[in-house]
Amino acid sequence: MTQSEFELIVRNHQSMVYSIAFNFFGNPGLAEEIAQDVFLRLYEDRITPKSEQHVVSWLRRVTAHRCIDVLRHRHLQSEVNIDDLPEIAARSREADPLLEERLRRLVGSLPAKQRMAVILRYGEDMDVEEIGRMLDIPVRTVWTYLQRAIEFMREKASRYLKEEKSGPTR
Amino acid sequence: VDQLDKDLRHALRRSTPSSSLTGQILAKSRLVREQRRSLRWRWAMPAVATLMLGVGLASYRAHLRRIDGERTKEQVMLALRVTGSTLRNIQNRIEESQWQTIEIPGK
Repeated sequence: MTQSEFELIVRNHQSMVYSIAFNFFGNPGLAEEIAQDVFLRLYEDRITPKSEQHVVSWLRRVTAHRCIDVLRHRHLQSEVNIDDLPEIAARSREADPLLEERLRRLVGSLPAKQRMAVILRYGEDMDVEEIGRMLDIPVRTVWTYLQRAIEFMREKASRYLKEEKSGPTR
Repeated sequence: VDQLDKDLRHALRRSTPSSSLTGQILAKSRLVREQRRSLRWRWAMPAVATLMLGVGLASYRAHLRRIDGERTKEQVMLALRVTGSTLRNIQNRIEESQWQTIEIPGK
């Protein structure tokens, strides 16, 4: 891979790599650090891109595993206090930054592989087979992760809906 | 669930990194390239030094062999010279003794 080919790959795919890491950690600095690591690995390993799809797949896979490894090694855990988050039902759903922030933090509170499965499914629009291959887990496990995550978020949403109907608790 | 699905897709949509990210990645990749080059030379230098040492050692051994050969040649020549002069001495004595033998009957 020449320097100009590498530069083109960085420019075309940095947003994807950064977004996966940012949605995983919720930390722009750490997301950029991960993006740098991933692209440098691409450069150091002298990966010869066979196709655009091959590059995308390689970058997603390495980013996903790098994020999970970093989370495990640095013992980073999102300590989300649900009560501190803005409420889903109380706000308009049209491009609400607080709603987005709340959802991101809920996703950030999920266990590592479950969190990555949700990000790849909803952020990268990947199907469950692809996610399974990427995370080296069976398809059934991916389905379970996604169902549990949705149930968890639905439960949090309904909890606040009920609280909203019965009036503020605090 | 559909609405949650949409909200999730919207919340997890792609975001743009800082404008400096591309520059940082490319700067680091250049650094890697430089390191690779210097690493290549780091391997080449000892290889060249070993090669030169080998060539030097081989030519020194050849030089020693040549000196040994010349010394042996000189010793052989000396031995031949000594043998030659000894033979000459013996021949002279034989000749002298023959002359003496001839002179006695003439008296």
